[in-house]
Amino acid sequence: MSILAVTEVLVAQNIAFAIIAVGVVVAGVRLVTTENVVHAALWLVVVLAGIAGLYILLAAEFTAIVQVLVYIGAIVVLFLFGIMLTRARLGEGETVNKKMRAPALVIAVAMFALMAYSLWGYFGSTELEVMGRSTAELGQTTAQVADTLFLTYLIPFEVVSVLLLAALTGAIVLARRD
Amino acid sequence: MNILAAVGVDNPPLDWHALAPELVLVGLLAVLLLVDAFGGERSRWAMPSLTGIGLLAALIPVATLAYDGVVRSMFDGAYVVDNYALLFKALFLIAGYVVVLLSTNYIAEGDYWEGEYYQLLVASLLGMTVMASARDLISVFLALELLSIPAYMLAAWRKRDLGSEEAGMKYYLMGVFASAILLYGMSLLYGMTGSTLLVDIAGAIEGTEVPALVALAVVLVVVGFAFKVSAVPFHTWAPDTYQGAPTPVTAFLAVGSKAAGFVALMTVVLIAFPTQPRIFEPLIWALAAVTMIVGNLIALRQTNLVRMLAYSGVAQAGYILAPLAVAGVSGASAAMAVEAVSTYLVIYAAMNLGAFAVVIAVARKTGSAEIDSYGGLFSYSPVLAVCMSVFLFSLAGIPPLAGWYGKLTIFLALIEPGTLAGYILAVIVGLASVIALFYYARVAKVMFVDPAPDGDTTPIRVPMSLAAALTITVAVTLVVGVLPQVLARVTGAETFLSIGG
Amino acid sequence: MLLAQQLTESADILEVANTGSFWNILTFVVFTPLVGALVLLAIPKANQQALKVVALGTTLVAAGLGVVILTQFDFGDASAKQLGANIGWIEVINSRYIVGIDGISLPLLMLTLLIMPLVVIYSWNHIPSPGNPKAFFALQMVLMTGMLGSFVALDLILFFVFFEVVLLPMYFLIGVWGGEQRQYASIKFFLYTLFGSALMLVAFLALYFLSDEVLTPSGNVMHSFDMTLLPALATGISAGAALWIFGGMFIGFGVKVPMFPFHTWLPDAHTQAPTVGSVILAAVLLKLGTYGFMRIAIPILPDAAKSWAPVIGILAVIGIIYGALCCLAQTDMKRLIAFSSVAHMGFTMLAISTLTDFGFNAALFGMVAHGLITGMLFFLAGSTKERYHTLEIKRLGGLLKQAPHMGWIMGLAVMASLGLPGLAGFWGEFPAILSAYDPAEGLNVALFRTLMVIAAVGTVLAAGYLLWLYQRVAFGTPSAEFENDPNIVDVTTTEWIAWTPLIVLIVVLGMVPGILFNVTNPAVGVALSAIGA
Repeated sequence: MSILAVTEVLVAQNIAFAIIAVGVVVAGVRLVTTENVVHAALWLVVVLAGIAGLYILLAAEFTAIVQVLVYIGAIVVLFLFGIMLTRARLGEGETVNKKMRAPALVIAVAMFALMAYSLWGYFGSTELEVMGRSTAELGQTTAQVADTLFLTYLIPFEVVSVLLLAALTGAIVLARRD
Repeated sequence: MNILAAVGVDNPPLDWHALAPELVLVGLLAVLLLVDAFGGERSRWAMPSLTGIGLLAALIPVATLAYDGVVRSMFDGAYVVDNYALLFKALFLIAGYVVVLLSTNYIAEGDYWEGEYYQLLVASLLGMTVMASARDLISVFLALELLSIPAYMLAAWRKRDLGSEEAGMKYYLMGVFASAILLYGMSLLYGMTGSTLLVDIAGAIEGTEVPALVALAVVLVVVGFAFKVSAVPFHTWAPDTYQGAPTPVTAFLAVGSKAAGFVALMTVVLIAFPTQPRIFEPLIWALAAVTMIVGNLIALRQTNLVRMLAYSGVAQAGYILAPLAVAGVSGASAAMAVEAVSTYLVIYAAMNLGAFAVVIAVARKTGSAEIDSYGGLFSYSPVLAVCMSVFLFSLAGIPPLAGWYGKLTIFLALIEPGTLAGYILAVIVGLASVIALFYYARVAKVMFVDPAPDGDTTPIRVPMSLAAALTITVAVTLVVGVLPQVLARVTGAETFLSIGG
Repeated sequence: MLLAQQLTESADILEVANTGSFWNILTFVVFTPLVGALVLLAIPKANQQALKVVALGTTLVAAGLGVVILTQFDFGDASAKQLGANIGWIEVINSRYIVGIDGISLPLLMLTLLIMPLVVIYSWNHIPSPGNPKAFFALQMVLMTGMLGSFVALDLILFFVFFEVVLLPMYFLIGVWGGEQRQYASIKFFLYTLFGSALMLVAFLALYFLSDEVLTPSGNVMHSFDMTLLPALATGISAGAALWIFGGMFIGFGVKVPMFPFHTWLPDAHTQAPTVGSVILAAVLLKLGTYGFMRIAIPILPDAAKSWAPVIGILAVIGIIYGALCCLAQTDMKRLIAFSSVAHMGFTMLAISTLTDFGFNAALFGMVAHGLITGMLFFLAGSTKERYHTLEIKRLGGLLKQAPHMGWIMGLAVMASLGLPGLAGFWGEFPAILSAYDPAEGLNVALFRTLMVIAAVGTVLAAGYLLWLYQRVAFGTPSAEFENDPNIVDVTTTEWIAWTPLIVLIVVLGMVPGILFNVTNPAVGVALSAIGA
């Protein structure tokens, strides 16, 4: 793990973060501005992939893999299936209402300013420890995730499984033709 | 040899007794699923009975735990079973049982998907029982999702009805929006404190200098819950959802989901934010005041009883919020606030479920929930009219019906701190109750004085299950009203809410 | 809620002990009507005779228990709270089931126990439209429990519960069995009272938290709702807070009395209520307000009472004059009697506002007398309506010719109401005016003497409108439309039975007022002990 010095890692991390962040923001903007649903879904892939990249930068490789598998692999594909199966018009959508764009923009900017101000005010330039992990443990995050998932957060984990079951049952009932 | 031990993993420290109510519910869910899958048409009739029996069975471990009286804490205090948790588990299970009673004929006769209906109901109840014990952010959030997501779908259960689809959709969209806000607030809390445990968060954000980020996080969390409990101005989904959803589901949302939302709000605010009264008190004060005034004023204008109950429920949410607005003054005021909110939720559940039971019974004959269609009810179904009056005047807080004791505890909690804010809010609660009486009394007037709108005065046949639901709710409303001590000895105990850890 | 051991240093803390049992005579008398109501519910609707018998039986049993109370009550010690109990009820807030009666509550309790059987007897052949005697009587029974409970409760929360229990039955009695505008009248009655009682409850709770604590039987140190202890416990409350608390109670009780300017519900409620509703309202319900002042507000917060006394006195006198002037303008007999109630309760409140034992005695006598006389007048109005199907004064006339006995009874009631010496009304009105001559120490004597003069003018007005009423209704010849109406008969048997006790009492109390004053006087002294009068 000590091929590069810590500072060099940080520099590289920052550069990578900047690149990915810009990509995610641009893709996000395109996602909500494009009027083609399929394009929007594809821009979503870019956003999600970028976030997976950010997870890797934070040495959370397990989360990154889950992000790719679940979001890109499953959810976006489902989106695309959904778009195709519901016979929605592919291409230009004409019913999109743009009247509320200005207020939406104002609110979005205000919320951003508020959050940025608060976050900056609290964290400022403090360097955060990566949750007290030693270098030796950095390679074992997957094991740690497993431990917390099945020890500390056992009940929430089980709750999620029931939740998925219920969602499945309900979705089938609501979706089926009868 | 245990295979987990072989690879060096400790067994999770599980207290099976403490988890028994939830395990019974999970078992019930599995049984329902299997019976529904393999029983075919023949098993349809058994669904409500099975569900009812299962819910009552889940009450047994709640009773044994209460008898045991020990505070059980697991996962470093992330999951606590104390009297507070047990009271609400019991409340949710009994409310769920009553909802099953309300649903039995309604769902069976109305061409609904019956097996799945009860499965989702049980799943949602499981979320609620988990919520009662949850003392960390992740448990709270996931319990909230488990109780909400089945409820979104149940609201749309009348599949061929546009109103019901609108109900489900509105509820779903507003619900996930609220979840997003809540989750953002929670993530900020975790980011600042590095812990999901409510107690740890309280310790970490302590201090007289309040950074903007703490304020933002507290506000986001409170606002997220405000959606769930339908506080003004986050109430807009409630009337449409209540009106469109199948009536038993409406009863379930109005009582179960709302109570669970309040439990979560109360737990989080009082355990994680007790050191931040300067942020949550004014916020909740304003929410409570606006909620009860606006809710009552709009309720005045309603012509549909379910919509009126929806707005009255909004107003009631204002009353329930009120004690939390002065909960940060001292430890004693926090204890009184917990007592007031818990007491009111229990009483509110009884009287509101009862009111919906009457609505369902009357709709069997008239097919309508318009207030005018209740004309002459007293002349042809006096028992239903009297029951409805009991519930409505209990909601209005008239002794000796249980509602008065709920109001009394709220007044007590508001006045105990002796602050001007508390006094003013108490007076607002008083005035709002007077406004509320107007529309409750109007329904009573229609039932007792007006003639039947279509001249049809054949008595209403009330099925067994509805009659049982009415009996339970009337009994609770009267007994708690006359002997409040039966409830107060639980909610008023000093060791009621233990913070875990 | 501190444990007793932690407070050993404060040795002067009051200790509360459980006394008596729940099953005492007062509990029996209060809950007998409720049992009666349940029995009524079990009887089939069609069996009207059984319903009436059960209702009457219930009230008679309660009245019989009232006689037992009279025999057991120690008149030599009328200032003490007697025959009661003090046991736990809602322990977490130390609200207790405390009941007991003294010279202040005994007359009002007896008044209630007397009026209710008469009301049932009167209803025997007079069930107002739309009928349904089952619900009609059941509601009256619940109402009775509420009224009796209010007079025996000595715990603020218990009092509040009974005070509110009265609301619903009365709402339904007016709203279902009332006149054309019954819905408006019933909701107005309900809202005014509820508004008042909401503020009253806030005041009670503020009083609870601000007063000193007591040691409960279970060993906790808690605040108390005990009316008998609160005068001692509330001495530490700051003057400003006490003023506000008194203000809350003032509105709560003032609405019930009703005092000007909270009185506007009363004429509507009285006019629209069925006859027995009006009788109960006038005879008993209004007394809950004045009783609240004498039992709760003034004894517990004597200093605030002194500050408020001029306000109460002035409003009372405005009520007297305003009520009288309104009476002169009325064209409806029942409405006229209703406004005369406002005026009469004004005399009572004026007497209370003097904060002297003379005034309190006068007020209590006035309450009982007003209950008997106005109750009687409403009975008469009801019977008149029954016969003539109208209460418009200008259409009536010649009652003495057509129904001479009824005419004479009305004459007696009218004379009693205007305060003719020798009848009960005199002893309520005359001492009330006189009491304002010499108000309690610290009150503005000049102001109260002015009030006294104005109130005296009020009696002249009262004589004016009552005699005018009597002259128009009873004298002269019947108008053409009613001349040969076979409906118009003299006093019937049930009416005789219902009215005789009232007539006898009006005369007896007028002749021998001492039987009432002797009971009230010692208790009044205790209520005012903190005023120093």
